[in-house]
Amino acid sequence: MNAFEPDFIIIGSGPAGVSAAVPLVAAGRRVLMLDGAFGMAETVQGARWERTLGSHLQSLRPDDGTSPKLQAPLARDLINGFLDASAIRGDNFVAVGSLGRGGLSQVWGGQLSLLDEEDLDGWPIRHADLAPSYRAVMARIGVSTTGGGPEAETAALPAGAIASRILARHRRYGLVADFTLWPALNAVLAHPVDGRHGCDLRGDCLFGCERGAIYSSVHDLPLLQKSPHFALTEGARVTELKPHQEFGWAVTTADGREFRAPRVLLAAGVLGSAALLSHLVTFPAEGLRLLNSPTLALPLIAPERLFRRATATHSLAQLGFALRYGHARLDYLTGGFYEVNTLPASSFINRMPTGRRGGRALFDLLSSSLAVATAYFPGDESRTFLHLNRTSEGGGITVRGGFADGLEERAKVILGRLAGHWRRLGLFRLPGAAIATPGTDAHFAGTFPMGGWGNLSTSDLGELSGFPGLHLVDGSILPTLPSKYITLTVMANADRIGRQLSNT
Amino acid sequence: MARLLITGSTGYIGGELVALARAEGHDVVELGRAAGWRIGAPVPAGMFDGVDAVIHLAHSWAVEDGAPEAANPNIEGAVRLAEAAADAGVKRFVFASSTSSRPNALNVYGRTKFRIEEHLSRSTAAAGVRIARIGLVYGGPRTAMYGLMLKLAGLSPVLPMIGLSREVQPIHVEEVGKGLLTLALSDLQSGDPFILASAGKMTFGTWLRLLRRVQGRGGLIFLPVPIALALLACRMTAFVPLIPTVDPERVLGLAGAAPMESAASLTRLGLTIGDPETRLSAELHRDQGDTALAEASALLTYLTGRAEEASAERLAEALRREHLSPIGLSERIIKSPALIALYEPPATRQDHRLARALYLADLVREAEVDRVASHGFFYSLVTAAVDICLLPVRLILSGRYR
Repeated sequence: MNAFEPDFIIIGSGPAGVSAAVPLVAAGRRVLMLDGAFGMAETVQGARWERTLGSHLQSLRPDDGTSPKLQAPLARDLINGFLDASAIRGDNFVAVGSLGRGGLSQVWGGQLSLLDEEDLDGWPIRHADLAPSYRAVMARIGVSTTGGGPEAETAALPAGAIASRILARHRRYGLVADFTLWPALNAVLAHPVDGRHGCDLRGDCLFGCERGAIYSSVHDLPLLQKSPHFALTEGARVTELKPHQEFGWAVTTADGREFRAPRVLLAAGVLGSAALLSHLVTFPAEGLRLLNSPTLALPLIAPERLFRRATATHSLAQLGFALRYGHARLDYLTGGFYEVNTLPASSFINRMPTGRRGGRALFDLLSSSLAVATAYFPGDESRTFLHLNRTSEGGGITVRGGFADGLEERAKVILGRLAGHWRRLGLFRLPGAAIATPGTDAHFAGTFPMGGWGNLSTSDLGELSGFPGLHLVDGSILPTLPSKYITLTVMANADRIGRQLSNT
Repeated sequence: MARLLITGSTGYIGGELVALARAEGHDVVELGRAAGWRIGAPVPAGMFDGVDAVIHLAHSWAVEDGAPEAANPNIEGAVRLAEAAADAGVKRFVFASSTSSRPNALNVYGRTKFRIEEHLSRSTAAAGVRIARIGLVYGGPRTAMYGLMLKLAGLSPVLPMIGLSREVQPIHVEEVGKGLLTLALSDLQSGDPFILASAGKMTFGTWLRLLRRVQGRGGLIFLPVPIALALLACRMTAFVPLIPTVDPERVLGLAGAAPMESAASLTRLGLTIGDPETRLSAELHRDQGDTALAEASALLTYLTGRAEEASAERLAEALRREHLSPIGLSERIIKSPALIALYEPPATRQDHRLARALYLADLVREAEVDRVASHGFFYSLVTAAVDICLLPVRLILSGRYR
């Protein structure tokens, strides 16, 4: 690759980096992608115990209270590797990031939302600017819904029995003002495409999809690599970004290599990008604000499905829902509805006041009727700040998580209202609803907002104020964080920036 | 191959000796209660038939302090046994004595052993008698004095103790067994007692620290206790209900040990004495490995009715890594894992060691097959109902494995 002189260096091979690369490469611009890992983090093939416990038993550990997904081997490897290398610590915050190939898209939940004009209030772009990118990204990653409805033109996978019943009921009962329910839109294939298989509804998704049905940005890399304009360098964990008089930007890696290009696109994930920029910019005294979505989980039971045989479906969200709780534009919750029999039972049994064997038996009896709704608050309900540690403390960044004043009390009221809507649809609330530790949501944004004021803001192309040629293309630049699932928007926004930069 | 008659074969040394002798291909006759014999009683007819040597380990503790020698079955019984053996044509009689054997020993045990040695050497059997004075025996099953010391040393980092500066000569129970077998089987000159004890000496305090170290525990601080006070405390235990009575003999035995030169004996027997720390570390570590695996299998069997070896190994590794091993499950539970139902705390109690261990076992089980098949409606219903009914019992018993 000595002869390869890139026009753009993209740091990170996650969804944002890949989405920015695709239009650039398509336009014939030369792109060098730097990937912090060597190859894949861990294979999802192999014996089942290796997939679920990890080849070095890294997931055979006590329940740490985070989601079962984050405790799966793949996530443990990715996140621990990231935390070790980037010196990021969480304080009342589960710092979620990845240096592995494909970033966090290897362990994501696959849920998709599209922001509408109202959600984009305060952004320097309009919905029309994002719409073509939304379409392009969705066509590339492959999407499906759980059953017909408004997205009937999209491929569909069968929903679980609880979900399809309550969705039918919701439609029959007609509209209510503050609550909406729809078939989930997921980045999972119903039919084979380009070497990826369609979902076989085995419901073992948490441990990585062996069939490649769930989208990961890893799937796009072979296609990109077919282009002579694209090169991927692995094991290139970036430690420093420096303006370079002659070339524009110089990027140094942990193993001492240096890469240069006129423009650098930073797509290392919100925490990873902030860690890299901490050497270049000064964080405010009160810390750098990070938007994240406080998250609730609400266990539910559908008595009508008690003691029935569970239906085969994937472990991803079955339904999407939204609950409006205030008058401001973003004052609504977005959530996903999951069928519990597709999830590992052990962490549910931890919440049962029975013994373990009895708990397992009880779970076997009840699981076909159990569901869980997870809901996200918008980012303005979080109070999370990034602080630079002093060198005497070993350097690095501490992320201090927190909630807006009174959120916990308000959440109780909102949970009650949400439970009321489920009850109307035939689902009853079980004990154990809780707000998760900040960070487990992994919906991060807003550290370097597009169109913001001051020196830590970025242009509508993600270009960092005062540093021409340095663009952020990941979640860092979303100026607001609606409660919706944000990955698709991060990808569409990166695609939009890629398209515009391909003309420069 | 020889035929050996062994008394005290169910004891700490006896058990190991019998196993060793049989492993070497010898024929072993066990003389004890099962054969209708107790020390002091005449030997049942025909027991000596074809026997090449007797190894006499049995010792009766049920002898009053200060009882006249004639009334002491240990003395009387040993002489009788030796003479009967000699009369029946048995060539050698090995007597297990102790390094505490001396005329003025502090404890009755030491004095009694000395008296037996004297009587044997004056008996009609004297020509075939070999005396083995055995040092501080360790290793093998965790019973007898060894088991007690191991437990005490592992118990707490602060230990009130007597006789700390006394020198001890530890010898592994297997080395004792080898020595006794050599004495019984080879044509060594009898005469002076053989000393079965390490040639090197260490203080009793150092020994206890070693016993703590090999169990993977930290340092040990001693609170030296005067002997008078320890004896008083022992006598008090007889009057306090609900605590075990401690025999003052044990205290006096600890306080009264005095080293003996063993190098010459060991050379004559061709016996090499291994380093106790190395031997014990290897032995206890292997034991712990076995325990972890046995406990892992029990947990899996409790949850699923079976335990595949690979799964049990994975679980054992995780239990060790999470410092949950050993959980300390009793032998009975390991044999009948269903009993865990009585001790298991609610699954919500993830601060409880047994609950955490069972969570890990559940993860291992979940990883075994693609989709864990459920057992069917009635099985689940009964299991869940039994579980809920047992809840009160468990709330009381679960404290045991916290």
